[in-house]
Amino acid sequence: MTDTTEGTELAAATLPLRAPAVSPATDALNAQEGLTEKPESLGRQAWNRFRRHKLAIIGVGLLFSLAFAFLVGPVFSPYEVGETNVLDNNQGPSLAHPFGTDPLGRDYFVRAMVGGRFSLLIALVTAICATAIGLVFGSLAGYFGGVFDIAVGFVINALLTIPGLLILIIYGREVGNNLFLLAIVIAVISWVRAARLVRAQVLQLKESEFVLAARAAGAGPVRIITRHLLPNLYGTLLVEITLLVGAAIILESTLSFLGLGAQAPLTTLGNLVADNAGAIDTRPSRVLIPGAIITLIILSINFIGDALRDAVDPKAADES
Amino acid sequence: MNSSDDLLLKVDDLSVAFKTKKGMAEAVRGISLEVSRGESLAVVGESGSGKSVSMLALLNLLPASARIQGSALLGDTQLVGLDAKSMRSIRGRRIAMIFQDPMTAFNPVYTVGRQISETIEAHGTASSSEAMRRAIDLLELVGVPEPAQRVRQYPHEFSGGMRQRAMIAMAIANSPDLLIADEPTTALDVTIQAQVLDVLKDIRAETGAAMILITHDLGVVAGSADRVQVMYGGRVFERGTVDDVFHRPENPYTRGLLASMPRLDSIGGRLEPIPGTPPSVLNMPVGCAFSPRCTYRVDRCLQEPAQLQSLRLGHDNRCHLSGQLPDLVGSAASSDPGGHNDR
Amino acid sequence: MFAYAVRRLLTAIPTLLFITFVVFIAASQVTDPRDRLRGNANIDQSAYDRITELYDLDRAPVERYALWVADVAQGDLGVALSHGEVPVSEVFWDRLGNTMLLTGPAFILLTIIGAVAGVYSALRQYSFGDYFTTTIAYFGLAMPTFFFGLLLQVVFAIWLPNLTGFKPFWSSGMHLDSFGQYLSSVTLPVATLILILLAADSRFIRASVLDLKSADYVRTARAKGLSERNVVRRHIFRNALIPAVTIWSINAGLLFGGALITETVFSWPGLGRLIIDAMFAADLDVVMAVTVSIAVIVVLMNLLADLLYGLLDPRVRYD
Repeated sequence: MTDTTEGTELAAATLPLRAPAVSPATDALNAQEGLTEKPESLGRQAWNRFRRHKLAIIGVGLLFSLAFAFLVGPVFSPYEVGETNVLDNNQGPSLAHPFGTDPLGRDYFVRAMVGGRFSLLIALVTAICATAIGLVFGSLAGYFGGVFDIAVGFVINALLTIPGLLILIIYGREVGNNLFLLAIVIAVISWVRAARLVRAQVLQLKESEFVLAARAAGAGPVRIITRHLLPNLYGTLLVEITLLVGAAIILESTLSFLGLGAQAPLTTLGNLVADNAGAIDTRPSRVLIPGAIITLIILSINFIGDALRDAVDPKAADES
Repeated sequence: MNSSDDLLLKVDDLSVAFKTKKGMAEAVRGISLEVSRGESLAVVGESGSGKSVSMLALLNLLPASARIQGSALLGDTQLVGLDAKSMRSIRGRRIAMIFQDPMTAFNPVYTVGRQISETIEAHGTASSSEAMRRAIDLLELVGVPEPAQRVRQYPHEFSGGMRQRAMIAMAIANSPDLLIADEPTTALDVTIQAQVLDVLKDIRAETGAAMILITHDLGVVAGSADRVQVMYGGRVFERGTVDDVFHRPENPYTRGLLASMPRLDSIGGRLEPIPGTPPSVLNMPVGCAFSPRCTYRVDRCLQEPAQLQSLRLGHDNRCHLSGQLPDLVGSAASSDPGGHNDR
Repeated sequence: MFAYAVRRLLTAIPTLLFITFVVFIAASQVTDPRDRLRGNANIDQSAYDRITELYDLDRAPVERYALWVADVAQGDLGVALSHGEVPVSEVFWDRLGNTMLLTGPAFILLTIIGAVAGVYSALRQYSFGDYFTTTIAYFGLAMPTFFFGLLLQVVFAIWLPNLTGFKPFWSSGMHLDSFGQYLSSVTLPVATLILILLAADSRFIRASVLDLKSADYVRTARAKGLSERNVVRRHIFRNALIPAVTIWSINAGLLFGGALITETVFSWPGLGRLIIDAMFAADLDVVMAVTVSIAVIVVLMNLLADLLYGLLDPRVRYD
């Protein structure tokens, strides 16, 4: 999106064309032909493109700092997560309590860090599950086509006609005290885009020469999908997982904010905002802090996701 | 070779560079050319030789990152650095362009008639109803059947050949002095190519417009041009009359091009492709741009670029070995290449 | 075109049936309208039985769904239990109107601001304005709707009044006593509602205009001697409308999703508030009515977009 390349026609013309990921077969071919100079691997090229994005490096740094703080912060704090101290309640930020305390006198810094942990964990599980569901449905629909394609298309179409949040509202409360169930329910409404991307790529790849060659050699669908199609989808899936982490954090925190997601004693950034929204007039910092953390997480994830997308598909980057 | 009143366009030392992240990319490195009234000049070269870029530079149609230097005189008007308003009055009126791909060169959402009449209205030479009547006449002139109905159709309702005819009609709408045809037949079927070239020839006979024909296809050149200019790596490598360049090619690159072209008279003979690929504009060889691919290469070629020098009247060559190459054996001189001019 | 529209509406029916089936079964699994009676000692068995009968709770969920579909087909949306057992339509239309008071202006502003910002940053690529809108877009995409809403409340209802003693906007509730009141209460929710969509919308428009800037026919238009104004207006804007129609129709649907959250943050009594309250109250018929209405709106918007698409692009045919 914000790449620093001057997008001239010439720069475009000299960009390397996007080649399919090197399959084991071509590796063997290279060896046979005795290519002495090993060409730069596609992964390496992608990494070089990624590295050039300043925002992506900022994103990675920011995200790692946050994750580090979530993991280590509570360990170094003298307070426990659930430790209440009514005498110290409702304090503003101070040296003893950098983020202040809540109405029960719990240290808000520890609460926010632990909330961040769970929010990130839920989002990661969601992203992986949603991508996996999308991968399965997308590749089956793309590869086999026919009735299966129509069925998957129908379900996707239906899911697009109502806000995903609506389905979450219904089930969110039921699974709100189980982190993994909550993640899976969010995943069930989040796989649509992954499925469409995978389907489109599989449709294109299955007509490509190397797949036709594999089929002519007698490879079955399972082998073709796992050995020849999947390696070419890694880039897309990596980008999708990254962006889904961001989307999942938004969905989870929104659900918690509505009072329908994670329930106490689970602490997430979303229900920290929700619990303290009532006190926004008197202690706005208790809403602003977890909200700002959420925003920073998603901001850094979006930076990384954009750069990854450009790195994986330089052509698309050039167009925007 | 022409008297100066006949001279229509005189380009001198024109250079075009693009600002890129990896530095300046010099796409055109000091070319010169002259076109007289009514004359047809072919500019030949592989993609990346700078032929299209130099023509787009004349009308300032390049992206903002392009830096154009040198001189291009259209009559008394200096085109390089010309202000936007004056440039607009030249575009489509004194110099008109015919683009390569008629599919994408027309806007899909307007009728063909509207896009032709728009060209006329842009120069304020006719009212809109008058312009539409002119559009019908123009389509008829380029051989589009039932022009009165066709003006109301959209580009996607035209076949490729008809679309390119319409493109030509649009180009001649304001009777320009010079047509620049950028690979006008490359996107078309072979059978249609000849028809479109015929239309161009007839139109020029009728209007007296001069033409610069940009092409990589030497077969197209033979029947359609008076003079040829061969470009490589942003420079002119050889130029002369079609006869000179085709029958007495002096430059190794021109010879390579001719040898790699199928010929009617040498059925069964081998085509010899030029080895290697054209240089990147970001990474030009120090010496002669063609030296890495040249079979006649000597040490000097790798060290310094050659200068364009005159061989005989109107035949120039850029080569350190100019005039010293062995004569070509028979074949190249025996007949015209391609099949377009034996009709 | 009319035949096409009718056919499209007919094919939407299975989609609507599927989605309502999923929502109905899901909701009936996790909610029971009798739950709220159970804790109350004063409620006798007859009240319990009455609700069982009202909702056919002794039947299987699939059967109950079939009965619900039959009722809706006859225009009966059911009973709003938590609103004094009045017919759903008595609360529904009011709430739909309130949501429209929010999403209507939001849609108009979103479309205009998104188009202006997107076109501007595409035509002035790499300018200060371009970087500025890009930065705003990044933050817009990174901020959850509810948090942006709360942020606006903090800034405009707490900090600004504390600093200046001047409170320009209502930060909660819907006020319709006068147009001024309406404007004052609708401003913050509308701003909240469009921020995120604005980011995506302007990026999309920017990308499609950038794409068109280098289109061959735009170069042709310049080569013909058209003025820059006409090149941009006739050959860039006109063509950019085609992809834009698609994103506008998607936005219309997304605004209703966003309203679910925004209405909660700003206590706006619309469909979003209605369905969330209904979930807590196990008010199944209300949940279903809101679901159906949002799905129908999305289907109609998609149809409208397709028809507009055909008007804008002569290459599209309906057959």
